[in-house]
Amino acid sequence: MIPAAAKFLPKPLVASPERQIEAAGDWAVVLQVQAGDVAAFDQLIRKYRERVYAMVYHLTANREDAADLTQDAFIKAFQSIHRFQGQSAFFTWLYRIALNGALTHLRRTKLRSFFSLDKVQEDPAVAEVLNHLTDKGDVPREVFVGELQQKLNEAMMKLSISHRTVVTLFEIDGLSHEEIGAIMHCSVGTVRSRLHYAKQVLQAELSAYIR
Amino acid sequence: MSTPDTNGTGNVSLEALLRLKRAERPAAEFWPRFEQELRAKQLAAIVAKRPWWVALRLPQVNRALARWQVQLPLGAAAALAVSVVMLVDRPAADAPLAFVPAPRATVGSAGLAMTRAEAAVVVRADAGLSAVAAPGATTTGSRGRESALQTAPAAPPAADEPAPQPVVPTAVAALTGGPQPAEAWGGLPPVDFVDLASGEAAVDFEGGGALDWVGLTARVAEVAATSGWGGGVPASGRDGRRERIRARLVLAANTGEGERVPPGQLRDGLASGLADDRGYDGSGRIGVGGDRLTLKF
Repeated sequence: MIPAAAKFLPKPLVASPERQIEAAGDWAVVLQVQAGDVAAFDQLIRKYRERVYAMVYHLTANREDAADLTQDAFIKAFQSIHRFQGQSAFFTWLYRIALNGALTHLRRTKLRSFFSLDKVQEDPAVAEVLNHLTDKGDVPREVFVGELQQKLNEAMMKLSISHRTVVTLFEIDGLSHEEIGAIMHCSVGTVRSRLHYAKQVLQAELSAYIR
Repeated sequence: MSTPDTNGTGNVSLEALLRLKRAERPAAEFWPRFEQELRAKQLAAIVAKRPWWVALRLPQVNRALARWQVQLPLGAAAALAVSVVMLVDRPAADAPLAFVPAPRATVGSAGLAMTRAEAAVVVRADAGLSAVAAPGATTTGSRGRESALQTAPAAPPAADEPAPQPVVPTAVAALTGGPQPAEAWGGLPPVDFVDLASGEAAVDFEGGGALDWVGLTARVAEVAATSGWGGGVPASGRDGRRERIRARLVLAANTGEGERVPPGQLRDGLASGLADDRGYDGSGRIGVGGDRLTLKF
């Protein structure tokens, strides 16, 4: 049974109602873990592993590094969960841990990074875009997707770490400006500004594919 | 047909491309392996010994201190206090020597049977012997207490009595035939002294703490006796090193307390020891400069 977490709810997020409901549920699980139910932390792992992994992966463009960094982030969160007091949403806190780890890793391996990419999982929306891009070309679809993936990641890597982080969190993870500001400890205006600049750079880099 | 992300030219919007990027996901079989590795790392992290500074839980301490807004001032004040105490307590390099308790020293009947640790006995006169040993403290070791080491019971000093005086000159004076302690100090409470008339004394400094009165008295008295000062026990082995140590001890015992012991007695007692030392000091007078060997007389 979930403890009466309503009175312990964290500060309301400047986020969508779905996020707020999600944060309340997370807080209840966190309280369970803090009370000694260590197994309850698995719920949080299963819930956020894909999202945390995706964020780290899009920042590093290396799936092995992303897996390691994601695991490290969960371990750090587990070790420090007794200090989590619900002043922010759990996922914000977890993202922050993962982001710090990723940024540290990126700074450390700035000169020796290389791509190790996951396959593009084709869902209907992605298939439609790919169909459109490959309609008039003679290049086999798989080859085209591989090239496009390479170009996309190269363009992302040309961004600075902070700009890449904003693009990743907003465009790929779907977080709001406020949430990104909370994670990156910067204002919403800064987030918007960085996002705008990053998109300009990306458009310039990917002009061959962009209308 | 074109969607908002596409147009008839075969190009797409940036958002559509980034949606492609979002579709880069690991295969389903990736996650069991991920979880397995995470479990292993989690166990390793639990088993791993965390450093002591993590165990301190500094954030909690800081939070507690922050209530009084004393974090930084308290830390700075503590550091300053430690620095000042260390500076104040640090003796000057040229300060006279004072007694430091040797870990173990045994005084035998035939004279001094000094351990090597005794060589480390350093004497500082400005500290005063009374500063090293608390009056009335009798913390000698168990060995040899029943021997000729006789100690008078230390009576508690009255409130109007003067501060206790150094005991070593008293003991030396007693040993050399001078006035007994009670007489010498004008009716002060009797202090511990050693009667080495029988020539047997055994003092054990195993206590390891500050040198006690009895031990100090016995040591200095024995040194005075064996160095031929007054009617003490004649020294049996007079090698230079031992004599030097004895001379230092006696010097320390009498520095600043010259009025307690007649200077003539002191000079006589030290004469033989210093004479030996001169021979060793002579080596410092030999100098080599270029192709010349110089001797200073």
